[in-house]
Amino acid sequence: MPYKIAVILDKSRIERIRGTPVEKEVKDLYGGYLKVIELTVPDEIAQRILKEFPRARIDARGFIEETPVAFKRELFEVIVKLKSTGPEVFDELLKPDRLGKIKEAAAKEDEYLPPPNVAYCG
Amino acid sequence: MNPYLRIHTTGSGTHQPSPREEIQRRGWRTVIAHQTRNVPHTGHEHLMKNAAFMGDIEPCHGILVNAIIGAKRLGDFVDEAILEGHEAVSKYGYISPRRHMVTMTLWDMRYGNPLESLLHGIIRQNMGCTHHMFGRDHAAVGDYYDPYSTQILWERGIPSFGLTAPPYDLDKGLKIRPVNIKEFWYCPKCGEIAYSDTCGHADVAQRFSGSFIRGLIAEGIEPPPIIFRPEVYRVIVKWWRVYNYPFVNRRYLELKERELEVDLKPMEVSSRR
Repeated sequence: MPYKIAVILDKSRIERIRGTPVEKEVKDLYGGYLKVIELTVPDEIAQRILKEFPRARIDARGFIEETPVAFKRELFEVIVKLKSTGPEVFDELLKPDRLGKIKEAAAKEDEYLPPPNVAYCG
Repeated sequence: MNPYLRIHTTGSGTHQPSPREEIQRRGWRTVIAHQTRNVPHTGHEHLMKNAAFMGDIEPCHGILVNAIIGAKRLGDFVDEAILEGHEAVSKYGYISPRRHMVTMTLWDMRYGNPLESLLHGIIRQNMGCTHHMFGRDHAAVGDYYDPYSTQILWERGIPSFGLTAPPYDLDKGLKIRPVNIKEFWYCPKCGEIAYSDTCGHADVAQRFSGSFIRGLIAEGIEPPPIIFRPEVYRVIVKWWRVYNYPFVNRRYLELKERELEVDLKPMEVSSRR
């Protein structure tokens, strides 16, 4: 069964795909408050992602979630590089060199994630 | 944090009413319990507000949030953010503080879905609740159980558990009544958050996903207000700065084990028949 994975687009990411075929695949979520690209993930690739990143899971919507931030970041870089959201994205993403780099960054994420700069209103 | 909770946790010696005494003091005749191990998104908020319509001759007088505080799986929210996040819901008026009370139970989540829901029913009945809301994936992790297995138990029982009827319909069973709710989603066609069994646009509905929201937060993106209240997000960031991490990780679990674990002498429990 194929699953999905979503990449959230902030302003800088939207700029980086502007004018490419990927721009046409941008979807609105929650009334347009969020922009995302959704990729279809074949079952065998989904199982491999779950195996490589034990905390990742399939949520109630059938989306692969709780992957490391480094994984999503690299996924977006590959989308930009290939100007595609097709299955070749995962072939590139899961190449040993790239995967090793993601895992190295992900290991550091377990200890520290930089907090965003917003004021507490309490 | 709310003084009501702080006195409970620091043991100042001041008599602090139990939830049951507080419910009586407030004059609530009907109270619905909300089980949580999460910082609330607006889907949870809609669940609380709408489930509370099921009272007796009028909607429930009170919504009692009972947060489970203790060891949780890696990646869940930290306890402090869960409690303060729920408090922010009423502090900023998304649910009136006249109808809302945040409490906690020290307990390590077992993610036992229907079995754990029985324990929840007992605890919240003892606290003075008359109703208990059960949503999708109650006390669940992954897909070990059917997403609605807790609701099945409270609707007709589960014979393989030895319960041939719902817990409130058994001899010497519980008195607390279930309110089984499916889910709320964002419907772009209706342009609002809608109840899944009422909205006719399932094909375009955008479901809430705690995992998705946690991913958004981890990437440093503030969730939009339609799915997450800004004041609740700021609570997460407050505790993120304290622990350098927004979620439970190994370091946080070790810290909580030191703070919360209590060694007890072996207890003898007599069994009477």
